[in-house]
Amino acid sequence: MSAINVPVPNLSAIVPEILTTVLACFLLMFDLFVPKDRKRVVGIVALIGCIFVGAVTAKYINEHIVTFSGMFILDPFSVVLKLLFLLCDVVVILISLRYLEIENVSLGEYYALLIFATVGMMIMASANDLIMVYLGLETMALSVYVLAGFTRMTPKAAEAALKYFLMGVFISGIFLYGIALTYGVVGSTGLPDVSQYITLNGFKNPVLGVAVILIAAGLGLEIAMAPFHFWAPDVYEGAPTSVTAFISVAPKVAAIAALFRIYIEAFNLMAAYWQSILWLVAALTMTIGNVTAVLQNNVKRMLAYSSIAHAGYMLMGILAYNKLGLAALAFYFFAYCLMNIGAFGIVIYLRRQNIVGDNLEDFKGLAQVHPMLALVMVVFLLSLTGIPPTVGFVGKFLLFSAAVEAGFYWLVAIAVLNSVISLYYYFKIAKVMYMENPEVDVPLSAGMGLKVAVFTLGLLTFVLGIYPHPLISLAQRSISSFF
Amino acid sequence: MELHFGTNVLNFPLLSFLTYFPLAGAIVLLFVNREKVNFIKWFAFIVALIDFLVSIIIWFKFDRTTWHFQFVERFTWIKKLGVEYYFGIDGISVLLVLLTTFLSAIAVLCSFNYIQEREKEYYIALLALETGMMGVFCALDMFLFYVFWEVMLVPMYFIIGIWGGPRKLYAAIKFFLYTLFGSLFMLVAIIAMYFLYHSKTGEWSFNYVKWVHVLSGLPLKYQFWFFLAFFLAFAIKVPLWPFHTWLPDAHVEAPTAGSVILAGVLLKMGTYGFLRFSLPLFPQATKLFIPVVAVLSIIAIIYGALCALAQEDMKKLVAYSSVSHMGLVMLAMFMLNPTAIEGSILQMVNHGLSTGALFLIVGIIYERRHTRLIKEYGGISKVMPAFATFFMFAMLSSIGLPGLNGFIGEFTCLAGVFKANWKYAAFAVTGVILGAAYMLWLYQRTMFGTITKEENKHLKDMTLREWVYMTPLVICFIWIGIYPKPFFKMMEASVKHVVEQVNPEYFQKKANEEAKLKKLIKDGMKVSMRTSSSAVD
Repeated sequence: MSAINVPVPNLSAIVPEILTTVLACFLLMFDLFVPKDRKRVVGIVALIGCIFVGAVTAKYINEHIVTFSGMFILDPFSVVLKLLFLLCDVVVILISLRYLEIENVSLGEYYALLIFATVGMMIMASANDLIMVYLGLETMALSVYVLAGFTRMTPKAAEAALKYFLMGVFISGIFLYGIALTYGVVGSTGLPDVSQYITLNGFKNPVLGVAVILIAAGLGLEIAMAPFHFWAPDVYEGAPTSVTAFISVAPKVAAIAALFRIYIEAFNLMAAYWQSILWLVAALTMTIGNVTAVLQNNVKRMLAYSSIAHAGYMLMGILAYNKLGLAALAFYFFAYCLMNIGAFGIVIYLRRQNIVGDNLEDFKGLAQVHPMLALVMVVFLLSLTGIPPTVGFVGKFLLFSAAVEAGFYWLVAIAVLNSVISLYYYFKIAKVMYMENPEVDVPLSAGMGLKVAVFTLGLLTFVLGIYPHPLISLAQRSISSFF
Repeated sequence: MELHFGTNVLNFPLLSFLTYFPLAGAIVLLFVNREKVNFIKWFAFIVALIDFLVSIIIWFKFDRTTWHFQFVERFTWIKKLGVEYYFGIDGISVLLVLLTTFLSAIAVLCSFNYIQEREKEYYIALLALETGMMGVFCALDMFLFYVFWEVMLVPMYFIIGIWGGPRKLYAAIKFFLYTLFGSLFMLVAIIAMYFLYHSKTGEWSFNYVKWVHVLSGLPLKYQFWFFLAFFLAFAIKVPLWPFHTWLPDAHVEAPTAGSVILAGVLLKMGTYGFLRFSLPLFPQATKLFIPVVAVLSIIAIIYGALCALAQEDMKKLVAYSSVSHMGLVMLAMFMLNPTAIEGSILQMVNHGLSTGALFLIVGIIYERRHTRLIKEYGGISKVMPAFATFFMFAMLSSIGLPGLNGFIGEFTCLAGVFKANWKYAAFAVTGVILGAAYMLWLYQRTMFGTITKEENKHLKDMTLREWVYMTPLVICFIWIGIYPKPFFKMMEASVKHVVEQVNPEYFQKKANEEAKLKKLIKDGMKVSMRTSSSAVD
């Protein structure tokens, strides 16, 4: 009787994941020993842990390891993404520390869930197999569902969590169906295997075509791309603002990255096919996002729609299907992380007793009450619109460049028109801040962490707009394993 | 062919200094207590004044004999994208740079009384705006240019939106949206050209000099689209009819200084953009579009003038007169001969000075009466004689009275247009006639006659501060009006170079004509010699 031969996986490839998981478990246990009114300590420990894991992860930037029978890949792209997720964690923890106390939900589990979600996203970033993507997606999604309903006593949060959960479960079924169809045709779920199958047999089987769409749909929920975006505004509005900041950036980036890897690695030969679909989706996503955002008076909802629009812009990076597109995408991930979390950070900044801070009116006269904060918000708004000298402009410039290089002139024209529309609603906030007088005089009371986070993000958004060189280098380095 | 990136005789980054000095001032102001209003005002003024005084160095050090870029600063900015930090000026931009520093100083000074709230932010925005405008005129890297082009919108948005009139919010966002709409298409064109340049040379660059060298030879089908995209951005800025609708709103709502800067400098960015980028980069498309631009310009000239005739609000009247004047600038520029283009550049400067002065005049009277309606005034010259005199100078300069700057500019423009196409010139002249009509009528209704309103009987005449900022403008009117040679001298070489790039046939034709004329004279001489000799016989 011969023993089943199990190949020994190269564990060094998953050191970041292991460390992150350990961190999350440690936080759960550590939480037991922290008194109820001191839960902030858990957050600070989580913060230090994230920085530590980040330092370790950064060492892998030049590695290229494929392991777990080809299911898991560690390449510069995945490492850069992992660093981005950890950066998101750090910023989100900073803006949460005091906010949770104001919301009366300062619980240690919050930080543990955040880190668990990060583990899921890290796996997605490194997945070289459809099943692996699914595993990562679910690990992340389950944690995020709970986070969305973290202020469970408020009906809106409960609604948000339930809505998110139901949609998520439904869509993950669709995603699995896509995987099953692929497996049915190819006989494997490994991305290189799919690619090899198509190389040998051509793209003749229509089932594969359906699978491509279903996979995009499955990831499309997290990306919040049209027509799977309906959940986003309600969830973003209902969830605690710090969680909104998190889910509007990290899971979206993870899903786009996964979609990108699947399309480039597995279905590369079907590029013309998925490009024609994704073109329409991207155009729809950005247009729906921007046009609907114009009508919003709730800043969280507005930013929710704007984040839908940004997903549309980012899809252009996948669509372009060239070196520049990928670099632009990697760059934009960071740019988007800085400016979007920053904008949500300011919403949190405005959270005072009895004032949620997410209504347009709450921004009234901010420039007179707190000029620096208003200035930083303007920087974020400029960056989100894509006006120099901000990092958002460079990001948009790169994305447009990639699309132009690939010949998608009409899509770029649509994106340009969308940017003009977006100016209108972003500057509605600027207008309220600068051109109207303050109404309530409850002083702003931000914690140290939030202050540091918001102003650092503002400064980075500005500085990287003037001197984007380091970020472009990083983006370029991340794509070295493709093409 | 060897490319000339220009020289810098100073060994000192003068242009960068001029550009960022106001910004540095703005940053210092950021940390000043908002209660110290007087200090803030004077600090901002001194910063702008120093900027202007330093910019005078350009006047003396500028080499008038060459079209190469001068005072050049050039180094790599974003290495990965091939973006350079490339600053430099030539005969096309030099006058506009001087105009910018000059008008900015005046704009600061004229706001002392007008702005009564949130002074700190106001002066910060005004100084930041100066940085943006200077950058636009100095940048010779397309990426850098685009950055300044957009950056400048932000302070202007706030100036209109915070310190503007009753409909300021509408006007501010309209201004911002219109301009952004146009410029984003330009951005796409810039990106496409960036790739074309790469495919032709294998090098990533946004360098203007390199682009002109390589891309001006593109086939017409490319040039056509690029021209159109640039056209949209610049035509909205000029503003050319039918893209002008943002202008009256923005002008009417903006505070005086905002209007002065808007009319004096911002509109010039559109025409400057055409002259600097559209013409040399897309010569073939330019020629193709001449009739279109000419017709739109003529419509702008006449339509603007007719609208101005119908206005009841003084500021709106001046705003529409801007549409009309800028139409003439555009028309002359697209005639592609040296006379017309020189006239067009001088007219940009003139328009900046005289329309700036008119907006200041309106601002002065508005500060006293808080209305701009023409019917509220009448007989003002009796109570404010000095004011009436300044108003007269500004008005006559705008009309183009011989002896003042407007005449030189308009005459040169029209002469150039006439050279190219007399029909265009005939239409353009109507604008000049109508211009005289609405301006003189405005002056008559407000300054002459009897004083109809009780409030107007005790208006205070010009204060010392107002004298200080109006006098230099009037000196400029007279200087350019009597002795424009130094101004033409500054742009001659560059304008000739532009015409060589866009319309080389012009010089060919001119040489042929001159040869023919010489021959004719020679023949005539022979004939007359013969007849005179036969007469002797």
